[in-house]
Amino acid sequence: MDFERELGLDPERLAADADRFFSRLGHLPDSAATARVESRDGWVSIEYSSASGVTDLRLDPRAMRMESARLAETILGLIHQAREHAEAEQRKTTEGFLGDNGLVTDRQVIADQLRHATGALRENLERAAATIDRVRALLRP
Amino acid sequence: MEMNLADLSRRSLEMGTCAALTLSALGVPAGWPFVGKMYIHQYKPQSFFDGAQTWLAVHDDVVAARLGVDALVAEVASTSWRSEDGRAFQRRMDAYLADLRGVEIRAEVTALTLYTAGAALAAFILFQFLVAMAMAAVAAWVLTAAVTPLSLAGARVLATQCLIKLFEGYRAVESLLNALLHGCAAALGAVVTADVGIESARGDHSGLNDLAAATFAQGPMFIWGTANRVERDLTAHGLTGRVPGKGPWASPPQGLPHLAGAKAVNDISTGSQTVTGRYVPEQAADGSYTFPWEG
Repeated sequence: MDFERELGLDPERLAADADRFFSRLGHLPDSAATARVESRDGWVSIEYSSASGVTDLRLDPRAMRMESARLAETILGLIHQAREHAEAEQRKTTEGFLGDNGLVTDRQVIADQLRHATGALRENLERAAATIDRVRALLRP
Repeated sequence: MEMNLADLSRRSLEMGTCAALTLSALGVPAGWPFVGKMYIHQYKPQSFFDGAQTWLAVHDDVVAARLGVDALVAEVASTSWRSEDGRAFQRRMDAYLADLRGVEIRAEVTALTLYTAGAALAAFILFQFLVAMAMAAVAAWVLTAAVTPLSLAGARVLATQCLIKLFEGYRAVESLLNALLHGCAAALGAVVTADVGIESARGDHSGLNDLAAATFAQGPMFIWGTANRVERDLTAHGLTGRVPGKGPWASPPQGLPHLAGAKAVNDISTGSQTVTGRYVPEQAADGSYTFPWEG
């Protein structure tokens, strides 16, 4: 049977990718990504770790003279920005660790094929059961 | 070494187990229920296809024997053997011919049932492989999505929801497979224990032939996606006794050319392929679950 044609993907390659994925899990990098960002005027800076959130906040004395609402807005904006950077970095590290793996690159194909297969298989099994029932009816005593 | 259905079945179990283990380590234990099921559903469908082919060969042999005896009896009858002995001989031979027809039908039903069970198991193995792959893909997704403690919590929830729905889909298919296999077992039991219907034994078993034709075309239909095309190939090549490609359908059962004829007539008269028809996978996909990366 041509599994690649029936499944819509190469099972041997995917199985090998899965093996590679599972075997590397014990060697996951444990360092968290860290990002530091600062305001345009340099008065406020934030350090954010993907593992533990905000790890450092520095305020220049000049920042203390800012209007409180504007300072709060600046700090919040920097936290969001730093978090995005740290998460993107962490994601990049993890994807780099996984490499060019079919479990990531072909996951939409897997999802589509499985959805497709489930409906078709259910219909076909029901039809086959009806056929077998008709056969049994032919074997009446 | 080229992968066969039994290999694919074993690989699904291995990957499903590794995926469940990984998901569990990531805080998503919802993969474990699949593992027990995958352990149970390990099959070698080829033995069913081999059995079907053997029984079709038996069917062909008995048909040949019956036709031979029929011709012999007709020849004897035509010599005007009209004594009591002649009538007794005729009665005895009529009963014998009816018995042979019964054996033909039983052989055909056995082949059809074994082929149906084998095709269903083959399809289930392919389905199970996709499930194992989806589980592994979900595990990989959790790993990449869980870049912060907060996103890990969210990823766990999404992955768990996905796996719960996936398991519902798996169990629905499994339930239909179980029902079909019970039906097959009952049909095989009936072949042994029940008398063949008297009308069938008298020679009119075109209904059974139609069912057999549909069933032998139905094997590839279990395999989605290319079902219509494969079915057309099988019908067309069944008529000439050739089937392209490799695998369980590479060598058609011996009775297939004859049986495919009935199916082709039906296809032409109805203007559509009788087995797939409106059941093409594109229309049948239930779309009952989504995957976390599709949000």
